[in-house]
This record gives sequence, structure tokens and C-alpha cells, in this order.
Amino acid sequence: MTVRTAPPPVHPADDWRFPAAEESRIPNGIRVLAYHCPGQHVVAASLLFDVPLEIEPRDKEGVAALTARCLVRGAGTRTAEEFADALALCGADLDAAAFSDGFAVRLSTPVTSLGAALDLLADAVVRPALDDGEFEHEKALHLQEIDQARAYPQHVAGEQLNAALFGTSRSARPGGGVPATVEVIERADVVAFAGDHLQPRTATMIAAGDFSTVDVTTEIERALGGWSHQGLPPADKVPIDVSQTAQVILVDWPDAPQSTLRVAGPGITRADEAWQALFVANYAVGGNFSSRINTVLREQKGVTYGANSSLDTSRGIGIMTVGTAVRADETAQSVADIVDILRSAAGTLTADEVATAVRATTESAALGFERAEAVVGRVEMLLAQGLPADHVDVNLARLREVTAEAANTAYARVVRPDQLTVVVVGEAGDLREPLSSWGYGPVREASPGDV
Amino acid sequence: DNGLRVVVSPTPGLGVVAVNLWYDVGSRHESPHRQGFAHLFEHLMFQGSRHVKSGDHFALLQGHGAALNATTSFDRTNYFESMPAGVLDVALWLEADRMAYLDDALTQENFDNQVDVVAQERSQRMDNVPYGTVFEKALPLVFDADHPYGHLPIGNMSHLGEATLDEVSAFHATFYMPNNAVLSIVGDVSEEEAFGKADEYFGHIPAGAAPDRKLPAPLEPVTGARRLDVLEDVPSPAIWFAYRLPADTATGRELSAVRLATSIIGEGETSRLHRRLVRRDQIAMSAGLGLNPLIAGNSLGVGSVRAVPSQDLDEVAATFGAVVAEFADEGPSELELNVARASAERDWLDEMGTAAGRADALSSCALLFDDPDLLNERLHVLRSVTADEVRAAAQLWLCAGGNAQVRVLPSKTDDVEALG
Repeated sequence: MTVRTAPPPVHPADDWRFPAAEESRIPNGIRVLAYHCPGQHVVAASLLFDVPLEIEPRDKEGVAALTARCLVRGAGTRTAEEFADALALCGADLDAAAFSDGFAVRLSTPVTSLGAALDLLADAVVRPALDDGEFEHEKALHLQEIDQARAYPQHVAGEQLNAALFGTSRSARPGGGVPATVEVIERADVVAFAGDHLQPRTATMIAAGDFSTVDVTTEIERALGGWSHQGLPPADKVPIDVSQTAQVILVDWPDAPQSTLRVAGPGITRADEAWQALFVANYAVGGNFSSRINTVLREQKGVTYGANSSLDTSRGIGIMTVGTAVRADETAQSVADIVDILRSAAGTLTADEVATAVRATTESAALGFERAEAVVGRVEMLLAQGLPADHVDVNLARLREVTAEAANTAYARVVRPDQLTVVVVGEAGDLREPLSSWGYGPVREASPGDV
Repeated sequence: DNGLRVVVSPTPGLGVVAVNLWYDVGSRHESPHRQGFAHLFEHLMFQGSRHVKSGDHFALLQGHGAALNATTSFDRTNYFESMPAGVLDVALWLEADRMAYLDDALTQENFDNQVDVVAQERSQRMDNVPYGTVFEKALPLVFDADHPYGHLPIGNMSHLGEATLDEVSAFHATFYMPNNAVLSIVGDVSEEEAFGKADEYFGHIPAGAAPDRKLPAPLEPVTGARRLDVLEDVPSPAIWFAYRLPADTATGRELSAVRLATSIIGEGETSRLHRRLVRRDQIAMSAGLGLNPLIAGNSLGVGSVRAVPSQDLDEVAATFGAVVAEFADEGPSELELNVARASAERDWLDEMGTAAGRADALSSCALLFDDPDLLNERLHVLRSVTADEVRAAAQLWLCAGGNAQVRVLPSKTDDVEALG
């Protein structure tokens, strides 16, 4: 038997397509999108409401997150504990979440319990108890969790980055509110939030799973068809500006063995015609293990376990962020390396890098959407950001067309390596001087709760 | 003929295929002076082999849309990739090349680099994370420091700093051979094709002298006070509880009974610990109990409570103990048992939801117990365990015996009196 000395050939895959949606509308206004995914015996579903976080009153930020917590603490005829038992007997999970572009009630359940689990989801949305004792306990836990989260450097880096990038907009501040705004929220605020904003006419139910033995659309209509509540009209979305000024924010983290870093600036939205070209450029620069950034910081210098860059979007807004944690004594050198790599990438993305990025990002689609949960998660994100549900296939087709020239053009148009926001969470006593000497931008010090 | 066990599970039309290799080597096989070596070695498996340049392993696979990684645990090391079906040959070729010919590509530079990377991995996961090193501190308390499970796979960075390149070659020669591994191929490939490819890419690798599997005798549950108190810069006091549990076995009946017990006592919002400590007494933000199935004599149980700020930990520990004792005394209600079974079945369905999950589970059953069909069998066992068995298991393993405790007290508040 001979030993092969070079990689065997790859057999190209047929172009994969996103599962087809079966779309309908319940008479009460709920739009239903059902995706049959063979072999996915755990169904994922999300009831998405068109409620951006920016509608929260400024002095009671966190009311959406607190409403989300309280919705699943007892509903219909069941107390909180009876409700939890009923879900658990189904083998189901039910959670609600408030995020910048929407409010979602998310269910995952074995398909064999789908009907019963949908009834529980409907109870939570239509007939939540919002009990006084449960509200007080959830509020206390929420405040404690805000406090706990600030002991984690990655969380603090993220909060500081948002605060520095997004000016005075809602996105600059923590999604779950801050202690001062959560403290003053009362049960009546949660009841009002649910009543004002959770309503069938702004809702979309997205469900995916192996539906070969169940009529999911009928089940959804049975569970939610009787809901006729009318709340406030959907709010207008306010455009957000992203900082384009070089700045360095230093958060003191005494004795940190590593510094946690974020380097970010404006990106573009998924609706932008250059989205696919920028996506490919980002993949090459920092979006995969063999990227320029990870190769230098991890595989050459060994100063980190991993470094990557990502394009993050919400409705009307996009940012590009490099994130990593590096050995403390290599902090200033590493942020300088990152900015240098971003600078040198302009105009230098090669045909090879771009071809690899196009292949990798398109051929990984079948894998990325293997789970029902991933299918629902993507559709939820697209709808919340105002994009059509069939965007995945459109996006893949456009990705396949990206050339090196297009990637370089998009990168040059969007990425401004000299106007970035740099957040460093590390030992300030050691970092103040080297970060100032670097001379990238003014160094401002912040404390973890300072957002 | 070289002793490589190959497991194939076709899913026609999926478009995706998963490759998963389990090697029968983990942190329990390490020399006491080289804690963390199995995991460092795993990193070096990505640095190239005779026909693969450094960096090419990731580039070739990710560049064709694959997702890949490897993990090192107490009992085993697994290497895995999921990809479009047409990339299967590349994955098998890469895995075979590093199984057979890692030595040719080892360099001091790559070795030194990965020692540095592992140190940063440890910092990121543990040293720079609140409570990040508590689990590590619990292990030598519940087992002894020289027990195979007395240290974490991430290991000791000063041990790794003293390690040499020759030790990497020796480790490969000792543990990395076809007859010390299981290969699973799951997804969009026919049975015949998958076995054919396994033979094509791995068939030329000679069998080696596979190490005998030496398992230590089971230890009785912990007796006496095993407790460590530490002051750290954390926002809230917390306790970890570690238990010696029965080892995992082929049918795993006793461990299944313990699993149902820990699930009822400590898994999720329906659990007794959550309802007592978080909801009723409101002395904790979270409370749970889970288990880590292991084969060398004992499995490991781990409970943890994140107390509310300023909470006295003696009260937390006493309440935790009372919840466990009450369960061991009265056993599960029918509702609790049904909830625990539903939860176990749900976990199983989640694991089976991807080709990668199925491949990993098949490798596990085949490597640890030489029987991939256990994948289905073990769910039947879980369904058939009775309330009496659950109560007896809790009595013996969670109650009659004790546990080891690590208590973490905030160093920067006035909570120090809570040291108790």
C-alpha cells in the first residue's frame, strides 16, 4: 500500500440551499415561518416581536430584560414551580430575551412534546402571571447578576466598547440596564411593558425541526390563534452613529495575568451591497484560525490562546471588532500589532486568500445550519434587522461572486485603521505608560461599572 | 488489521460528514511531573506531520468549510472535524498522517510556541476568571494529589516549561497508534465507502505496543473533613462540593441511578437545590449538582453554590447538606423521576442532533467500553432505573460518604467573618 504524500482531491458539493419556509399568517396577525429540517427531532421555535430596546424609558432601562425573566415564572393556571415542572416533563426549555432589535420568546422541545410545549409558550406570552413575589425575586437576581458580570474581564471589555462606540444611543448602554435604572423598576412597569409591546400583530413565529409527523402550522395556530390583544404601534427605529475617532480606554484590572482587548470601528449592515465583500475580507484578516491576526499573535508570537475579528450587525448598524486576551507584558505590543495588521491589509488581500475565504464561508453553510436551532436563530436575526427571511441563499450566491478586487475595495471603503476604539482591561499601573507612548490616541481610564 | 476500531453510521443526503478519533490517553496517564502534557501534546498534533506543513491542518480543512478541533479530558483525547461530504478524504488523510508520522514535523520552535499558547489558554479560561481555579483546587481534595484524577488536564505550567521535544516523540510512540484509538465516520457517506476509505488512509499504519489499560481500584466515598478555604477577588462567596462516585461501566446502571439523583437534586430550575437555596431561602444566586462520568475507579460529582453577597457559607453548606440528606432519605417522587428521565432523553436527543455529536458519542462507547451499540442501550438503562435504586445510590454516594469542599471568600469586602 502506498502512502499518499499530498492531500487527496476534494469533491465539490452541490450548492446547498437554506431549508424552504412554509409561510402563513394566523387571522390574529401572527406571521408563521416553518422550516422542515429532516432528522432534527428537537424543535426550535422563536416568537419574535418587533420591539427594539430603544423604546425603554431612559430611567428604567432593563425593564425589557426583567419582563423577559418574569414571563416564564408562572402562567395560565400554573405557579412558577408548576410551570417549570410542566416544561421539564416535556423535555422543553422556554426562555424570553430582550435584545437591541427585538424581543423573543424561545422554545426548544422534542417534537413528540411540541403541542404541549407550544401551549406553555402561549401561556407565558398570553397569560403570564407576573406575580409580585416572583417579580421581586427576579429583580433581585437580575441586580445580583449585573454585579457578578462586572467581575468578568470579557464582559467589562464589551460594555466599555459599546459605551465608547455608540455615543448617547441605547446601544451604548448595557442591554439589561444598570443598577440605578433597574432599582426603580416596579412590577407595574413590567406589566405595562408586556401589555404595550407583546401583541400578535407585530409577532412572527419561526419554527424549525423534523415536522414529518406533525403539522406545525396547525399546532401554532391552535396554541396562539385565540390571542387578540392590541398594544402600542411599533416604534420607529433611530439611526445610530459609530465613533470614528482614535481612542484608547483603559480599565484597571489589578494583577491581571492577561489583558483583555477589543479593537473596533464602524462596519456595515448586512443589507449593504458591499457586505459579502467585506465579510470575505474580514475572514482573511481575522475571521478564521489561519487568519493574519491569529497567525501573528498565536502561532508566531504565542501571546494569546486566540485572536479573531468579527463583523457584528444590528438594525441599521455594523461594527468590525478584533477581540483577544494577551499575556499582560505583551499588551501594548499586541494592540500595536493588531492595528498594524489592519493597516497593512488595505489593498493587499490576495486572490488566494479571497478564494479560500469564499470557499470556506460558502461551503460551511450546510454545517452551520445543521441544527434546527441555528436555522431559527438566523431567521430571527435577519427579521429583527429588517432583512428578508430568504437572505441566507441570496447572501451565499453573492458571496460566491466576491473577487479579490471587490474585497480590497470594500475593506478600503469601510475599515479605518487610524480611527479605531481600543479597549484594554488590564493592570493599569503597568499599561498607562506604554499605551500612551504608543501614541495611537488619547488614553482615558474607566472603571468596570462606569457605563 | 492494525487494530484500529472503525465505527460507521451513514445518514444519506445530509450533505455533512463528521470524523471523530478518540485516543485512549488523557490526563490520567500523565507522569506526576508532567501534569498537562497530554493536552500540550494535543496542541502539537496541529503543528504539521510528515506530509503536512505547519499550519496546513487547519487551513486545508477550514478552507473547505470544515469545523474542527480537539479536546483533552481525564480519560481520553478526541480529535474531530465536520465538513461537506466531499472533504472527507482530506480529513482522513490528515488524521492518518499525524497518527503515523508526527515526529518528522516536530520542531523546537513549534514546541516552545505551543507551550506559550497553552499558558495563555490557562490564563484565559482559569487564572483571569473569577472562581476559575476552584475546580482545580477541589480535585486533590476529593481524590489525592497523586490519584489519576487529582489534577486537571490543563495541568501545571511549570511542568510544561520543563518538558522537552523528546518527550513529545516518546508520548506519541507510547499512546498514538491505531490499536489505541477509535475512528468514527458519521453522515453523508455509505457504509462501504466509509470502511473503504478508513482502510485506504489508515491501513498502512502498523500496530504498536498499545499500553494495557490499568484502572485503579474504586475508592470509597470521602470520609472526614476535606475542606479548603481561599480568599479571592470575587464578587460573592461560593462553595464547590466534590464527590467520589461510581465509575462508568458498559451498562452504567449504578452511575445511571446516581445521574438521576444528581439531576433531581441539582439540575435546573425544577431541582431541589434551586428551589430551596435560590427560591425559598434566597441565600444563593445559583445552586447545582452534576456529574462527570469517568472510568478509572470512580466518577466525579461536582456541586456548586454561588451565594448572595455577604451570605454566611456555613449556612449554605448546611442547607446544601440538608437537601441532599432529605433526598437520600425519602427518594424521588414520581414527578421528579419523570422530569429527570425527560431531561436525560432531551440531552441525548441534543447530542444526536448533529453528525459530530453522534460521532463523538459512538467513539466514546467504542473506546471506553468496546461497544458502540451502547449508545442506544444506555438510554434504556436510564428509563428502567427505579426510584429505590435512585434513593439507594444517593444514600451511598451522596449522603453516607462526605464530600470535599472548597469555599471562596471575597477578599475585598467585609465578608471575611463568613470564613466561619
